[in-house]
Amino acid sequence: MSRWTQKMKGAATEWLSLPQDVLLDASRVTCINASEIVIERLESLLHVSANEVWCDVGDYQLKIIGNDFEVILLTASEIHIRGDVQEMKYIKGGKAR
Amino acid sequence: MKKPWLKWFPAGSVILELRGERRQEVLTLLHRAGVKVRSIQFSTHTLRLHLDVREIGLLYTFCRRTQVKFRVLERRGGIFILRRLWQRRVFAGGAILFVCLLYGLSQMVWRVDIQAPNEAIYESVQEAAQDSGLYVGAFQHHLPPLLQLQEEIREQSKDVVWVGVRMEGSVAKIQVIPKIEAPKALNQTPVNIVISKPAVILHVYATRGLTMVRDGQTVMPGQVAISGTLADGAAQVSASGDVLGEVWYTSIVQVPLKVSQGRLTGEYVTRYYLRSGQFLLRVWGFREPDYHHVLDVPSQTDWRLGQYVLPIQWETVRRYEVSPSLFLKSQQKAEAEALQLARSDVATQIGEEGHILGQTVLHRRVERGTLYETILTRTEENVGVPAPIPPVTSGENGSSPSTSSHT
Repeated sequence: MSRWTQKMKGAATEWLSLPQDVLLDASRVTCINASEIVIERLESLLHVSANEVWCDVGDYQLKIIGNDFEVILLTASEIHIRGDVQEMKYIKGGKAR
Repeated sequence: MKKPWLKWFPAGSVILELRGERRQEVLTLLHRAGVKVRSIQFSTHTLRLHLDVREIGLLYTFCRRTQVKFRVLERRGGIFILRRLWQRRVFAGGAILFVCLLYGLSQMVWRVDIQAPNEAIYESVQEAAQDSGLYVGAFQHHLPPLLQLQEEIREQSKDVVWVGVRMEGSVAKIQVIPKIEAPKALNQTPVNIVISKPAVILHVYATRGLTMVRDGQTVMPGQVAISGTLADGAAQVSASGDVLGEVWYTSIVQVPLKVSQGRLTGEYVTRYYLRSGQFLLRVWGFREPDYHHVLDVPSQTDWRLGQYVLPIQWETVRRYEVSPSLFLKSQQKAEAEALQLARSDVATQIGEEGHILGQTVLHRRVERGTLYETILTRTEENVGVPAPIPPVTSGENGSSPSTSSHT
């Protein structure tokens, strides 16, 4: 996406007061009660294990730390995780790999 | 536990266990290839995942590439169910056959209920239904449409105004409304009422015509009781009315005093035969009891295949032991029986309206163990019957009083 369209979209979202994920290619993380996490617009999966999920969500890398993770669903753009969530960390600079 | 596996992976799915150092990498590769994976569980050395069976080839290449070993823990749904069914194909075939058979049998007519007011109509409707294809064992698909069917049955059966046919599952219900005969038109041809049997007149109830006899008069057959000729031949009407007369019947009755009767002792043997035409083959029941007198009661099956009677039938014969006994009837009892016999003999001759006035024994004789009696039975009955007026001049009417002088 060119920078100009990105800008226009950003302006339109602001002006129409829409949530960002509707028009922009922004990722969305839904966390329910520290026990279930849904990540949408997932770019790529970097690492999955029982206590760490590390993934690329576009401009950021998202790192979720916790215990007893179980991936309920993994599709091309979504991941549903269940488990004991302790930490969610955004690291600037996506598309590292 | 809910198992929506079939909804997720309709073609079938496998639960796999991955084992190897780089097992996490397989997940990344699968994700990159856009493969849908469910329920990934981690343990210290293994990784368990649920995958569509069609993606197993892809997984295999990834595992080869990363040197991860995998084994299948469970196979679910789709083709695996089919495979299991194929392994038990006889059982599955039986189940399918059972359903087909049940369906087929439910399409047959298993009972034909006919609501008819009497036996004659019942039989004629049954026959008509059979001719139009509605019988026990007929396929409902082969039946003509119900409206046509009821029309056919109505046309073919006697004394029926309307026929309704209704299918209730495998039971055919036929409702019939019988024809009610219209009251007979009054006879308009001029007739006389004449005497049919020799009798003594008790009373004449003439509703039309002239009464020609008096109460207490003895009359002979052919005599005019109510004349249809009025006013010396000026007009002729159809005479009607009841002529009640006393009629005498003599019956000769014989009642045996010695009666020999066979009584079943209750002992019996049963024999089973296969019957083919005249040929009988005893299959079971070889006991030969020493009965002096026997009574054989056979009963035969009616095995048929559709309309075709099978050539081989099963026959059961019960051989009962009979003990003959002779017993004497008292004369008093025999006399009562003789009167009853005479009564029933007369009852057949006097019709429904008549009744018995009394009985007299004219003669009684006992000879060689038999009671012979001559019994006179007096009855009251309608002795008048309509007869055409003879084409004689009306002056002939005077002839009937001349007969009455016979009294």
